[in-house]
Amino acid sequence: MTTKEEPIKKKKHSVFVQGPITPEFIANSIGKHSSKTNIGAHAIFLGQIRADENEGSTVESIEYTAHNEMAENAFSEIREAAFDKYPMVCMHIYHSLGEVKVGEVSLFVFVSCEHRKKSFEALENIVEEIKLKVPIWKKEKYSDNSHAWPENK
Amino acid sequence: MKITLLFFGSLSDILENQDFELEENSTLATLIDKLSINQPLLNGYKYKVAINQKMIEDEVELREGDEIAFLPPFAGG
Repeated sequence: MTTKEEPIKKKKHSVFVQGPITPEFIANSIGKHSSKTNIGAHAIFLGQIRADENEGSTVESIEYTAHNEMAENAFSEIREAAFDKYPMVCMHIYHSLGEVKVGEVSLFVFVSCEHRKKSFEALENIVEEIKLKVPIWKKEKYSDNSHAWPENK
Repeated sequence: MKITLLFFGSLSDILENQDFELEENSTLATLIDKLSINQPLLNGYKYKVAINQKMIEDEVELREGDEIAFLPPFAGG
């Protein structure tokens, strides 16, 4: 896990980012693909923290925790399965750990293909797999200092 | 024997990560019984168990040094 905005660039980088995923980080990620000229379509999913209301109190932030090793393994499996299933040129997943405020981004999935149709399919599949298979938990923190642990639907 | 217990999500509100002493040849069921006596709330929670980072469904015998992780329903994204 890294506390810097940009994880160290390796073939297999860590998925986890400490705190929110910033617009600058997302823009830089897009920029890095300009040299891969066989790409014709990028599909991007951004998960943003919503100000849900619960019994008259409003969500102010979410604190993400994970079983880190199991989560990194689950991300790797999702990644390998997606490359087997879809003709992607490249794919990146970033997920926040720690505190992320309402309006900030906590999940960034970035699929790049030669053509658009497969990029949409792959993106949806990967996001659903993340929701289903990765041991991550969110503690919703409310304006009245209470908290809740919602499950994915 | 000593094992390590990890509690995630909602379970981390009621139980702390800890090293735990258990008799040799204990099973997961024995462990959960013991934890439930100390923390009756555990009965009311939905969770899965991973031993040494592998999800397990069946009754298994625990071994010295095992890491037992209690995983409530996932909520990533």
